[in-house]
Amino acid sequence: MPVVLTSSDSETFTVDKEVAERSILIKNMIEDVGESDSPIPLPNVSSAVLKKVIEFCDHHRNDPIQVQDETDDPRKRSNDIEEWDMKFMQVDQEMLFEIILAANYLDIKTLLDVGCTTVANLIKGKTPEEIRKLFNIVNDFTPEEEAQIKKENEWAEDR
Amino acid sequence: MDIDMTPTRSCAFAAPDMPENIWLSVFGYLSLEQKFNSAAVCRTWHRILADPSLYTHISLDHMEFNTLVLCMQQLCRLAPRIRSLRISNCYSNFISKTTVPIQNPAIMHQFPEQPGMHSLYSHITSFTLPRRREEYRKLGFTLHQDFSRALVALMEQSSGTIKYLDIQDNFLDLEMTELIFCIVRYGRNLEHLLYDRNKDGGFIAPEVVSAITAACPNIKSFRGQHAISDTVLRRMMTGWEELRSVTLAPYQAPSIGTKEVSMEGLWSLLECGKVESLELLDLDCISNDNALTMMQRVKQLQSTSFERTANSPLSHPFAHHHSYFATLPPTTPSRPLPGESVRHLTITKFTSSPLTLPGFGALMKLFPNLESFKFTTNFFTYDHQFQGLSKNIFDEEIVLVERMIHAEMTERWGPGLRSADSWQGEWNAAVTEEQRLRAGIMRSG
Repeated sequence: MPVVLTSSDSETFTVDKEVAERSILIKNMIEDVGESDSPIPLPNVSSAVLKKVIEFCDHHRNDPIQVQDETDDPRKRSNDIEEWDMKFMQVDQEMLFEIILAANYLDIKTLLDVGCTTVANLIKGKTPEEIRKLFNIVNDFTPEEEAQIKKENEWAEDR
Repeated sequence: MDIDMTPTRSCAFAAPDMPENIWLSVFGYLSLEQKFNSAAVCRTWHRILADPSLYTHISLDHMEFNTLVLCMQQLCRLAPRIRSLRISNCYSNFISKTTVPIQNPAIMHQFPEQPGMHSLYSHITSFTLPRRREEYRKLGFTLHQDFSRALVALMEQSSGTIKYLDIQDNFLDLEMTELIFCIVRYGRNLEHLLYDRNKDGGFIAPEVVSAITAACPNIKSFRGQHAISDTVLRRMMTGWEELRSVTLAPYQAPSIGTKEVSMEGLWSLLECGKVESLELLDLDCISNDNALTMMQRVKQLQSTSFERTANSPLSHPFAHHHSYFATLPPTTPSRPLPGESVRHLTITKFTSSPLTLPGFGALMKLFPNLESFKFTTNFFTYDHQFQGLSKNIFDEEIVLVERMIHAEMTERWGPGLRSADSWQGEWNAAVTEEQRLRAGIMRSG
């Protein structure tokens, strides 16, 4: 049975239940409300973003649901992203952050992970100044603080 | 965790209301250096990046000694609760290029007028610990003390949490540091301890390993080439109830020369019935003869335990009352036979007694539940032991051994992928330094 979702700008999307339930938020809502024809409102997600989110969930509809793993093994974590996901994330920065926010709100762990990894990969290999430029961040350290931090970080810079 | 939904003034990027918990997840994907680097971006990031949860798994890799110490000092300021600490491939430019004169009075006496002839030079790491300490002091090299201070601070802060400690492939002089003190003093929660290939003899005294055994009761995996004698091994077996994985290798004992565990020591480890992963590096006690001896002991144990169960009802006063025995509770399964617990086995052979087909056959029987078996050797190992052994015979032997093990593994695990992974035989490993030395000695002798 399909599920109807309504975006913040009142556009409706009809998706398969198994696709919609990649979102833990929606899954819980469906469980709480029971089978119903009424659309599920998602006031925090615009139609442009919701379209992307649904595309992602549809592609990953058959993936095993990730369980929150508290692995102690430090070597498990990697910054590798599947090719499809990487292509999927090739969007402008605003959309990237919107997708991450939506994934956070809708509780879609795999999408949140892919989004965060994408941002982390953007940060990699950049100097603080380059990172500020990239994200339009203002340097609000006092000159003294900056000198102190620079001194502490000296070792990392020449590597 | 607090979710700050208010847009931060300082971090005004395309999506101004990125909550801090999302940045925290993003920063979780950065390496340690990238984290430190990103903390210099703005105040908000600096604050988020001070969260100790970002520093639970620390890997310090490919760092020059000076950098390593600075990095550890910076980590200390964040007061992390480290769960795993790995220091690997670190090196010291200073140590690797420092040579010091060998003080040899005999030579000095012979060339009193020629200062250049006074002394031979040797690499600093080749000297004894007191001499090294003296030389480093003379040269004003204090990084060992700085390293020790930082490590003590980190380990003290993390003593309640640290489970993994991995120190491998470093070219440092760690014997000069307080590493062992830190393990003994703050390592009570350690479960995995790996110290290997650090250009030294590992934990070089049996007393050191004994101290670690007493101080870290939760060890499950103890890897690296350390001074493990029979006595120490016995202590490990009683002290470390959770021990599942261990490396045994020969070690240099002062004034006695090379020592290693005996076959009896190894046998008692197997009798314990707990170790699942065994790494046996160039041990003389792993020989064809000993493998056969141990296998025969297991056979004997099997048959006596069978006889006991088979005979006891007959010798029992009520042996003729079958109904009486039927009411008895089933006998509790006895301890596993020695060798049954072992699932992963690594053996190397370079200067110790080689293994051939009968030895491998016995090992396969001794370890009936073996899932993976890694064997590394080269022709020299065999050539050295068996005079006149031709490469042809060696190659034929390889084929025989491989065929036997493949057949055995396939029978156990089926012909699937698992059997392909299960046996890794490396018969042409590079000739080791020690082998070269032996060859040199042989030739000159």
